Amino acid sequence: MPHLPMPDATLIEVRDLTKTYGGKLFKKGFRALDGVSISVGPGSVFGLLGPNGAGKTTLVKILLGLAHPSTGEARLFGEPVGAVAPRARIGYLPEAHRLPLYLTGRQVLELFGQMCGRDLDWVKARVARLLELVDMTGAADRKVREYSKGMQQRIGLAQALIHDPDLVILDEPTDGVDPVGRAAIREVVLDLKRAGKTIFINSHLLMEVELVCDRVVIMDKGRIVKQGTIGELTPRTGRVRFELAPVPPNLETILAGVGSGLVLQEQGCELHANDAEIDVAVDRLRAAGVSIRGLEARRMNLEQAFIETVTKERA
Amino acid sequence: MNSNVTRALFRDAFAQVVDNRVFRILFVILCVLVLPTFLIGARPEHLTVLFVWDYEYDRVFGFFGQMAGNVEHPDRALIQATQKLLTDVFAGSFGILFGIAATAFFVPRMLEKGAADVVFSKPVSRFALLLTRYFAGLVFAAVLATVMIGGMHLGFLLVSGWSDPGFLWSIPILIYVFAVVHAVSCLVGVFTRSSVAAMLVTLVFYAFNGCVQNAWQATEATRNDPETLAEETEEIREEAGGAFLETLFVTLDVAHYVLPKTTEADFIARSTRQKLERRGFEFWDQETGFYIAEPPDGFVREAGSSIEGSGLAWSDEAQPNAARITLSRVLQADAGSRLGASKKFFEELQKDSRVTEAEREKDNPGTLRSYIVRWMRADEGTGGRKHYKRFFENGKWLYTLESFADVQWLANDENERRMTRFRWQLNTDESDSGAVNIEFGSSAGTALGLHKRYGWDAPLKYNYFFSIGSTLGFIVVVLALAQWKLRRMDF
Repeated sequence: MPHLPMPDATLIEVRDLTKTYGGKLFKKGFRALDGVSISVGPGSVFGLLGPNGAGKTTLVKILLGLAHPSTGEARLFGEPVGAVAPRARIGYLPEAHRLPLYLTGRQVLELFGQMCGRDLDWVKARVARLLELVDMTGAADRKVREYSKGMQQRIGLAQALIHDPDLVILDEPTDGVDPVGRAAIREVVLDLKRAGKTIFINSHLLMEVELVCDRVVIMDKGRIVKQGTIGELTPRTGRVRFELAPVPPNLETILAGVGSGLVLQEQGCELHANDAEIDVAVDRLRAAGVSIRGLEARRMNLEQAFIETVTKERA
Repeated sequence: MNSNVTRALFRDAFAQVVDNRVFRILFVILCVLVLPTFLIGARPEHLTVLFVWDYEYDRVFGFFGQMAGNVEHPDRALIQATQKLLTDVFAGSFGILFGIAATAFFVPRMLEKGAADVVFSKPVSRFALLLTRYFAGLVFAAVLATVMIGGMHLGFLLVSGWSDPGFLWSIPILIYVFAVVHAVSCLVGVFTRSSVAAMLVTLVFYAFNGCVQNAWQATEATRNDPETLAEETEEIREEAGGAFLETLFVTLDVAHYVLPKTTEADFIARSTRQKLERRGFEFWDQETGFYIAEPPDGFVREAGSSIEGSGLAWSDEAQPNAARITLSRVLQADAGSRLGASKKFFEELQKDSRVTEAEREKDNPGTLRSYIVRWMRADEGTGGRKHYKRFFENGKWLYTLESFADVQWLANDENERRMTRFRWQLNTDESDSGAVNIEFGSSAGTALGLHKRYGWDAPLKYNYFFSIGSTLGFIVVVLALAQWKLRRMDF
C-alpha cells in the first residue's frame, strides 16, 4: 500500500468529543469522555496522562475506530476516525494486548505487516531489523504462547512499528517490562522521534513521559484539565539551590535578609528567592570569597504537577 | 483490501486451524480410520492384508451366516458399507458435532479484550476479519473431509482397485452443511463473545433444525402424496382437530422455508452420486430410479437391443442359445397392472398344449413387488427349456423380465446360481427405512419415497436449486446480522 506524504496539517484533530457507555432509555450511562478537544501535529511526542478511568484509553480507541464517539468530531490524517485507510499509517500497541497465541513472534510481525498492506518480502526484511531492535531475535521462532509478559510486550511494540507508520500510538508501552527493557523501549521512542515520527503515548509512568514527551495532556473524569509543554506543566517552585565550595560556617549571616526559608545543606544551601534576590545572594557569596559551583532554580517534577493538578481539579 | 492483506488473512486462518488441538486429534483419528483402506484390499475373490496375506470372505465373515455366500460382490459390499458408515455416521453426525465444538472459539477469541484491540486497529474492515474466521471454520471442515473421503477413495482405488468418483461428492456436501452451522456459531459468537455460548447454541440449533426438517419431510410425505396416505391424513385431521394440525403444518412450512435445508444435502449428494454412477449402468430409468447396475453374471448384452424396442436382451457368454434374459416395458395404461397382465398371460399360456408345468405366483424379492409365471417347453432347447417371466411395475411402466434356459444348461449349479442371483439385482431405488442399506451394484444408495420428488427441475419446494439457494441465503443473512452487530461494537 503506498504511503502518502504526511500533510502539514495536524495528524490528530479532536473537537468536543464525548463518549457515553451503556446509556439506555431509562438508564443513565457512564460518560467516559466529556467534550475533549486536542490537536497533535506531525513530528511531536505527545503524552496523555490521567488517573485510572480518566478516559485516556477511550480516546485512543475512538481515534483507532475501536470505539464509536457519542458526539463530537475526530479526524486522523484529515479523515474521519473509523475510516480504514488512515489506519495503514498508524502503529498501535494496546494496553494488555493479546497477540495470536498460535503464531510465532516472527509470524505475528509478518501477519500484521501484510495486514497493513505491505508486501511480504518488504515485511520479512523489516522483521529482522525490528526483532533486533526489541531484542527478540533469539525467540522469534517460538510460539507467542511461550513468551513471558515482557517478551510479548516487546513483540507487541515491534508489530506496532512493522509497517513503518507515520503515527505510533503506545498505550502503556513499558507495562510488564523490566528496567533494562524499559530503557530500551525509551530509546526506541527517541529514535522514532529523531526519525520524525509522531508518537502518542498513554502511560502511568510519569518519569518516562517527562523524559520523552514534547507536549502533555492531563485528563481526569473524561475531561482535559491541563495541557502544554513539559516546561509549561512543570513550573519553577521559587526555590533556588546553591552548590558552594567551601560552605562557609557563617552562611546564614552572609545571606541574612535575602529571600526566605534558608535550608543549609552539606554542599551548599537552598532558599526561596526571586530573580533580584538571587542576584543579591550571588553578590554576597562572591564578596565573602565563596566559590559558587552550581546554581539551580528548582522546578516541580511532572509527578508533582500531575498530582497537584488532579487533586485541585477534584477538590 | 489488496492481495497482501487477503493472503495474510488466509494464511492466518490456516495457521489458526492447524494449531487447533481438536483439529489435530481429529486429523489423527481420521488417518487411523483411513489407514486400513491402504492396508487391507477388498479383492473380488478375497481380502488381501498388507499385499501379502489372502483371506476368503467366507472365512472372515462366516459368523454372519449365509450373508457372505449370497453376496455376489462381497468386495463391493464391504467397501460400500465402509463408505456409508464413515460418511453418514462418523462424518455426518460426530464429525459435525466435533467441528462445532472445535471452531466455536474462533470468533469469540478474536473479540476478546486485548486481541480485538490489536486486530481491529489494523486497516482491514471488521467484516473481512469476521469472514476470515468464518473461512477458518470452513478450512477446518474441508481439510478433515478431504483427508477422510479423499483418503478412503485413494486407499480403495490403489489397494482394492475400486473407483467411485461419486463418493468424492461427499466432500463439498460436508463443507456445505458445516458452512451453515459455522455461520450460526459465528453469529452467536459475535453477539455473546462467549465460546461456550456459541458452541451450545449452535449444537441446539443443529439439532432443532434437523428435527424441523425431518418433521417437515415426514408430514410432506403424507400430506402431498395423492396415492398413499392422503386419506389417512384427512382422517387424522378430522379426529385430532383440523385447526391444530393446520397450524402445525403452517408452522412447519414456515420453519422449513426459513431455516437451512441441511437434511436435503443428503438428497443432493445421493442424486449427484447416482447421476455420476448410474450413467454407466446397464439400465437406469431416471424418472423412477429403477436400475440394473450390471448385466447378469456371465451374460452379454445383445447388440442393438433397447428398452424402447423389444427390450434389453442378454445371452449367456459361453452358450448364447442356451440361456437368454430380456427386460422390456410397456405403459401400464396399455397393458394393465402386474396382477392383470400376469393373469392374462398365464391364461393364454395354459391354452398352449406344448407348455407344461405352468404356474403363476406372487414373488417379492427385496422391495420389489411382482408376479412370476414359470413354465416348461419340452420341445425346445437341449433336454427341454425352462421359462420364467416376471411382471412388476415402476412408475407408469409395466416391466417384464423374461428368461429361458435349457435344462441341460441349468444342470450346472453355477449357471442356475447366476440366473437366480440376477433377480436380486433389480433395484427399484426404494428403501423402506433410513437404515444403512447395501445396494448391489450401487454405492449411491436407495432413497426414501420423498427423495424421488426432488430434482434439479422439480417444483420449487423439491427443487435442489431452491434448497441450495435458500440455504446459502440463510448463511448470508446470518453473516450479515453478525456484521451488523460487529460494526456497532465498542472494544
